[in-house]
Amino acid sequence: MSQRTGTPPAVGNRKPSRLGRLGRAQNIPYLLLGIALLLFPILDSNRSQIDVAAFAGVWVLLALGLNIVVGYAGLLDLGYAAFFAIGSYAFAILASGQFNIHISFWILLFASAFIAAMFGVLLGAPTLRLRGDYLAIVTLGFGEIVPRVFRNLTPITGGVNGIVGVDQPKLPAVFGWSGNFGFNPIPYYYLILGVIVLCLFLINNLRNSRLGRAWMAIREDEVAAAATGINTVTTKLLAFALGASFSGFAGTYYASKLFIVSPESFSFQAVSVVVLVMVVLGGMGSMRGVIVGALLIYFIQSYVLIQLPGWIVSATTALNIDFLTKLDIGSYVQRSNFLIFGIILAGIMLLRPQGLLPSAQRKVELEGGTSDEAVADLGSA
Amino acid sequence: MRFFADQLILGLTDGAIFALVALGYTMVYGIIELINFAHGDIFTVGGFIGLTLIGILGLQHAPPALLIPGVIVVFLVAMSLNGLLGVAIERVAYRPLRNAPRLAPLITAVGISFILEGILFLLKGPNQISYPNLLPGGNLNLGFASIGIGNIFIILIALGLMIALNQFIQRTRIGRAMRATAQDRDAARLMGININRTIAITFFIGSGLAAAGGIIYGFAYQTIDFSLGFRNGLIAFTAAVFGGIGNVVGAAIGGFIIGIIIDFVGGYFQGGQQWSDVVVFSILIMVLVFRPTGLLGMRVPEK
Amino acid sequence: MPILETRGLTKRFGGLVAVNSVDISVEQGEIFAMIGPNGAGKTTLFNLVAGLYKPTSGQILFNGRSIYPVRDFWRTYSPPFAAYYMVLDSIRRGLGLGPMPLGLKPHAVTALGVARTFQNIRLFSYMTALENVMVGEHPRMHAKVWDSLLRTPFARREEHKVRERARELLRFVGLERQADQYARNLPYGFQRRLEIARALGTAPKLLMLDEPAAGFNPQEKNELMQLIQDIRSQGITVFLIEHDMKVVMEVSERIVVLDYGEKIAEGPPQKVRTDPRVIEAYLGKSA
Repeated sequence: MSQRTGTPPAVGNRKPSRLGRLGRAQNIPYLLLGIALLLFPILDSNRSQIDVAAFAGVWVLLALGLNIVVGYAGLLDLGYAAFFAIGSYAFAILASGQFNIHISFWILLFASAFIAAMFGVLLGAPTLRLRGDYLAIVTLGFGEIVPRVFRNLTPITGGVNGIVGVDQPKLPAVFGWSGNFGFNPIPYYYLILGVIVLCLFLINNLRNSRLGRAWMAIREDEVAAAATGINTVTTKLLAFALGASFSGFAGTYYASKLFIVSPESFSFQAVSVVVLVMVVLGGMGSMRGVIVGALLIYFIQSYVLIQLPGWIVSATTALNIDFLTKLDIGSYVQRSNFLIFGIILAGIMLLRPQGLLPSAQRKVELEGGTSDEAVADLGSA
Repeated sequence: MRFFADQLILGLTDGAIFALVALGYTMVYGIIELINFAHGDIFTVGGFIGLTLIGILGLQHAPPALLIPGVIVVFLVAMSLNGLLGVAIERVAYRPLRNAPRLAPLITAVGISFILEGILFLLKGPNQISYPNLLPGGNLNLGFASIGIGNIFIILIALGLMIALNQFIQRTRIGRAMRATAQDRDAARLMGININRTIAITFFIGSGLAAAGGIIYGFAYQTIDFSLGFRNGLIAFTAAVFGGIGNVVGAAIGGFIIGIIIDFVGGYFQGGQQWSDVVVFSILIMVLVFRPTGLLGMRVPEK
Repeated sequence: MPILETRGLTKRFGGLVAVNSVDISVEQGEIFAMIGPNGAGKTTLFNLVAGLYKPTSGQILFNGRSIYPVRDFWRTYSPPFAAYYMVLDSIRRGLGLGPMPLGLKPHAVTALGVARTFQNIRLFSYMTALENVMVGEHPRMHAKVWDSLLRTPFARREEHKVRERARELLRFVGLERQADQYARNLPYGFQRRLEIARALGTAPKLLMLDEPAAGFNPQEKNELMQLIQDIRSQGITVFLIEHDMKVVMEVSERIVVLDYGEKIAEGPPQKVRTDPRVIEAYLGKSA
């Protein structure tokens, strides 16, 4: 591909029709995966597993959003939970018995994304002029303030107890289904799947656009980027706001799925770091990687760490290792997610900075490799 | 008046702790331009090391004559051990990334912070652990106010350490090397300064001071737990920024000011306790936005 | 009217006066060179014009428009800021403190039509040559966030146009074969030319080249001089800093000489070459 010289090839050659592209061999695994995801609730009758999947989607969404900020624009946002909280609370306040306002979920899904983005702009506008590491600490502070404000503004946010009885989405009745989401995980599953697909489409567009290139340029050399006419502050601000808006999406969905919002669900340890770990583990700047990272961490958190003590107990009793049974390793393991996250963050940065499934460009960038490869196929990462 | 004086003393005591921690942030930032997110947890580890040493020496039950040398030993040993921890972290986690993109050491620092917190969590559990106060009790009555003698000791210890640090940086050869490295690393290297050693010494001193802060915190609050470092670290960082990051005197002054602000907000406003952190972090954001060089700052963080 | 003019331009760094009350004027369509010993303040002057540094005092005009200090607030800033700055400006002037020290930000200077290269090449190393040039075209693209998000037909058309134009520019500087290589993997000489192509991507009226021939062999220097001529023949004014006297004397029509931040000579190459003050600056007093 790198040998393309002289006259530019006809456009038709470079880009086959959309349908044609879909059928390319490299996309077949993705197609199969898509079909599997669509059929999952039908094939698997275990509702609690569908429920888990519906929650996992929230984290995928959050990781995709943070990836815009950290992976594309190269800004470390340690207060990402704040925007998630703002999205959740915006929805919960405007669609619950709290003030007896009940605006439709479908409107608020976008409205609260917009509100979160506005807060992103409010925080980012003054601080994005500062150097990157200051941004990290400012966002960390912001991420601490927001849940505290929600906890202390009792008349509006319900204080420590939060808001219980958040509205749930409704659709027109079809095929004998009432259209009420209620506590049935299946419609939620399809909803989050749809939102993720939409976001993937949007983010993929962004990455290959004027804006995406500008982010990459800023990440590499801010001075040179400004010298080529990129307004670095507004461009970074856009990354911040767009990242926040995806978090707002996730927040709305999360609040309605959980039926309740409370300030405890949005702390640094519970959300901001977890999402950062997902992005770093999967590979900053790689959509594929980030999705895998999100699912992996979610799986570890919600399944492995909960099951592991049981496994260890049964293993140690089966092997009759008496002293190990007495040590109560189980409870240690369960409490060790701090340690695991820390090891992942530091370990990945030191040993494999590009993450598990890197994007082609970030891979070379973070490895500082010297390979001579042409990157004509960069767009497929 | 009495309430005012009480809050002021409380603020100065807290401020002494924040200042000791802020010094570590500011020194490390000054020399390698890294926000050492793990520093708050290094502070907690220092407190725990002190607690362990007190237990080993049995100082809670020691006769008064042995108490003073005992406390001095605890401080010295805990500061040295914690200093070595800081050096080890720098060597293992930060040095390999010194020339990596800026994001890499920052994320690593967050990771190290979580590793330290995780280890403390596994070893010490989630609960608060009681900490003996080895400082003399009693109050000094000044008529308009009565001041806890322990608080006076805390402030004096912190001030003593800060003055010692300042003398060290201004007067000694190593201090000069540190200042030179902070200003221009390449030029310092050309002048024959061993950069790696200078950075390691900076981490050693910063972490040592954090240990002193941790022990003092234990004395003042008579309790300690694994997650102290997060909040206190953030506040101390605010103090460092407030005073002007990279500036040692600024960090000390910033620490005291932030401590006083926290206790005044907490003391004078209805339900102020809940809002004091919000106030501190708002100050952080305000300072960064309107005066990023801080009170006495010398380096401009804008690019 | 000169395309670029500085009046009494001064920049102090602490006690050091890097640029001292310099007046230069670059005429539309010429090739203008700035020479001077190391540390004479040449690159500082570039950075001042490009908006990277803020002058201590003086004025910079581009196409007759003051880019430092900014005078036309309403054209430069959004209304609330413009009003705010206007009030501050009149207060300052009233107090005799001079105008508001506001200059255009680097990206705004570039958008006006001033492009530059850097002395130590600053490419986006992990982007391909083509992408580097496409980043250069950023200021003349019009796709908004929505276009980018939704990949509207407008964005697609523009993207395609920009890609083709970037290829053309690469061809212009002779890098069409390297379009898909990472900038960092290109040989040194190609990197310099790619930086020029990126600068040309911004559709400049004035191109500022900071030591474009540094590290070049004679053959490369000849090619570079040809390239500079070609750029000028497209109607772009070229303003260059260069140490290589052969290049300067051959390519430029007018030369300004800086020494210790001050302008010591100005004129056509033959005149500057024989100016006693220039000789003294370069060779020392005894010569």
